Amino acid sequence: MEDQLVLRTEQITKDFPGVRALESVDFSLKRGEIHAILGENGAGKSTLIKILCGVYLRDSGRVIIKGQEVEFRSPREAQVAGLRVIHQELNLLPLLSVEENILLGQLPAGRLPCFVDWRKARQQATEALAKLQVDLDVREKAGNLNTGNQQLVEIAQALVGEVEILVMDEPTAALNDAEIKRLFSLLRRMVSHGIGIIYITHHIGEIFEIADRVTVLRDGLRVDTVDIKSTTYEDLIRMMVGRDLDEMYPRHFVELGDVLLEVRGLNSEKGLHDINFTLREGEILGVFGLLGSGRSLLAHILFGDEPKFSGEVLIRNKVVRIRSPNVACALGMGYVPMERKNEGLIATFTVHKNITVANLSAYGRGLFLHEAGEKKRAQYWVERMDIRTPSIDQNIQSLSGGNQQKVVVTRWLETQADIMIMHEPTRGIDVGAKVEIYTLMDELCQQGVGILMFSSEMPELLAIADRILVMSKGQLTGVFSHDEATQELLIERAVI
Amino acid sequence: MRKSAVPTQTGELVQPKRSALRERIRRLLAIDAVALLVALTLIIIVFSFSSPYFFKTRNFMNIGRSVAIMGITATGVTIGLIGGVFDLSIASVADLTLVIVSLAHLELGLPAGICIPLGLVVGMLCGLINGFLVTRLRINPIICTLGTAGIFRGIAFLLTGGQSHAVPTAGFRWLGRIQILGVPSPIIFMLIVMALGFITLRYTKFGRSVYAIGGNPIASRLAGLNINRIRMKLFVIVATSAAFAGMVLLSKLGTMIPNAAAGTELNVIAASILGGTALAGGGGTIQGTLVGVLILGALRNGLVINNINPYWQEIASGIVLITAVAVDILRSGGYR
Repeated sequence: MEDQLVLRTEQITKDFPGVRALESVDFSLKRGEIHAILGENGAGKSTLIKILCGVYLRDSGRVIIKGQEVEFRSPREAQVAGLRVIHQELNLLPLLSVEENILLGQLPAGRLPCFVDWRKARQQATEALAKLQVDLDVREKAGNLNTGNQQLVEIAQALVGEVEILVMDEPTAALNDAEIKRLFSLLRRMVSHGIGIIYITHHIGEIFEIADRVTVLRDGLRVDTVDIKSTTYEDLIRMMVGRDLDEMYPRHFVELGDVLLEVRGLNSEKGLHDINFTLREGEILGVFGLLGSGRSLLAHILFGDEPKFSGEVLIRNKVVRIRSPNVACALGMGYVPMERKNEGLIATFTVHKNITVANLSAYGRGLFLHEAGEKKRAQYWVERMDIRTPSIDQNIQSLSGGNQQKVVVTRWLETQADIMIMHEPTRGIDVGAKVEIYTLMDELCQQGVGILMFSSEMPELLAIADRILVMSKGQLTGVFSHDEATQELLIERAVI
Repeated sequence: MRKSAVPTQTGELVQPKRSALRERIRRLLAIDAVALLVALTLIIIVFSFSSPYFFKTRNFMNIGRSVAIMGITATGVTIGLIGGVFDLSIASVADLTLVIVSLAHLELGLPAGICIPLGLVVGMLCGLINGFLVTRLRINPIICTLGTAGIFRGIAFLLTGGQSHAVPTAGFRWLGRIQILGVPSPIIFMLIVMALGFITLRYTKFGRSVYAIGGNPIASRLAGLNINRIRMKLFVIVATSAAFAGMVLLSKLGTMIPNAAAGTELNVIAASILGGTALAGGGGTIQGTLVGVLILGALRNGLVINNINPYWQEIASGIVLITAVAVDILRSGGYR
């Protein structure tokens, strides 16, 4: 039993200022096993991984790899010991070729010092890709690959050299169904060669497809470790959020009101053709499409972030020209971007400043900012939205992803936006936070707000949208009401 | 077990000690004012012991007078840097203003009461040009202002034919050459400008939006801030502060020199960074910049009155700049 374990942790504890991120966590990984770690954002998954791979130092506890206690001081040391991590955000260098990315930091030396043996490099890179049974041009620039292939390059990079433990952080977040299938068969092949895989995810469904065992974390504590065969979806959810979730999608469909937003004959040279639709008060209008379908472009155009297009946009039956995001805001629109970290948060700001940043003009007359009023308002929102933070003066980065997302959404409640454009509003957040976001969207609809929801997650669209538009290659290829829409129909229209 | 992983057989962890110390240093540095004031105090103590002339009210007034012009520009530069606006044309703007104001006074016979507002307008125009090039034509701000620096300076030389010329500065005396209650007027102007900068950053909506666009321009834009307009205003603020500094300099010198301020831009930026302004934008304060300016001033003054070869001043300034940036790196995680 002992020698079957390739990695074991005992009583790992880690404190951050104001919060205990991990408390006495035991974890073990066998050879040839896929062990999933499941938990809400802020449950401690990332902290555990960062301790394992040497990004953070633990406060107490032990990490034992192949019978030896270790203390990595950098990811490089972990790498040498056979532990590799593939992070959620892809870390490729887009201007370098596939082979350079695969061999980053370990390019084979040539005969002369400081020179690279490119022939050998090509051979090694090709071999690494061959291990994955994928066929990519190693000379292609990484930035030209699609997301699925970029991830394969990252995996190939991790497989150069000796690897015994592979950690994957939310590997399917940016992949479509076919790519996920390919990834899973790849993972199965890898474990059959004796590699142990730690697989971090929010998607409970995936766990049943791929994992052997699952450890559930909540609030820094290990809730349980169970065999996948002896557990159920409901059990896992219960363990993860600490309560029953009868209502994953709380939605009260309301009588729709007037037309808020109308788009007529929208075209863009960057890839949109004759888009027409309307959004009404109290409606959630879902927009589904695969990567490259033009849905991101549509979202950007509507919020003024992409000023070059032809066609008409009407708000409350008046033609408007949305030249920039600040015009869109003034017209009563709000935008929840897809890339929370880059497009949503102001990382140097506290929680309260992030909440009020879109609505500064409301606080104080003239030039001066009435900070006391602003803080009072932020305090109200933190309580109203149940944003979990030690205080409103906390830096936004120390919050969990779900709570950060609530801050970004709150920004637009502040401005009382009545047309909300939400771009993957539940991406990368946990089940509990998702439900809170759905609940909020439902409440907004009851108040007469119209929501345009761009999403690649079919279950949520099918559950909460009044209608779903499907896009493919820059065109609208289908419109389905809540009752007629099914996963099959959406996919069928999305791949036209 | 491979070699670079560190087994700790006794189960005791050696590692956290080092990181705890580093963490403590980092936390101390995070309180910018404390670290900076300590540095300033150290400099003062060292020079007070090494020279009997250093720790005198008179000498402190000298230091103040010597850094006042730098401090006025550094205020604008700090506000700009916080908002992510980098301006290398400040010295040229100061000189161009100095030349135009002198000529208006000498050749056109305009009184100081008209010349000074005119000088400020020159600064604003320079800022508008920089702002236009950066926000509309999307030219990289460093390259753009390097270019306009050459253009503004070139105009200053063309206007003067490259000659220096004495300017009767009677009307301008109060800017740079008088004392109010024993305090030289440049110091008072510096403090007024800094107070305005402090209030702008700390208490106005504009100030908050400057921190926002410096912290994350993309997110700020998507939150509805008009970042082009804010950047435009920042360029105008930076250039206007430089223009005002140029007029104080003119009053001090009493001479129209078309390259009087040349080469001072790096010191100004150094003082701002030294004072805790984040190179990447989004962080910094005017009070920090004040201390940064004083540290540079005290250092130069101390070297001079200790009769150290003046060339060493340049070297000292360079070392201080690098130190300041190193501190910025420790504070923020740095250039990767």
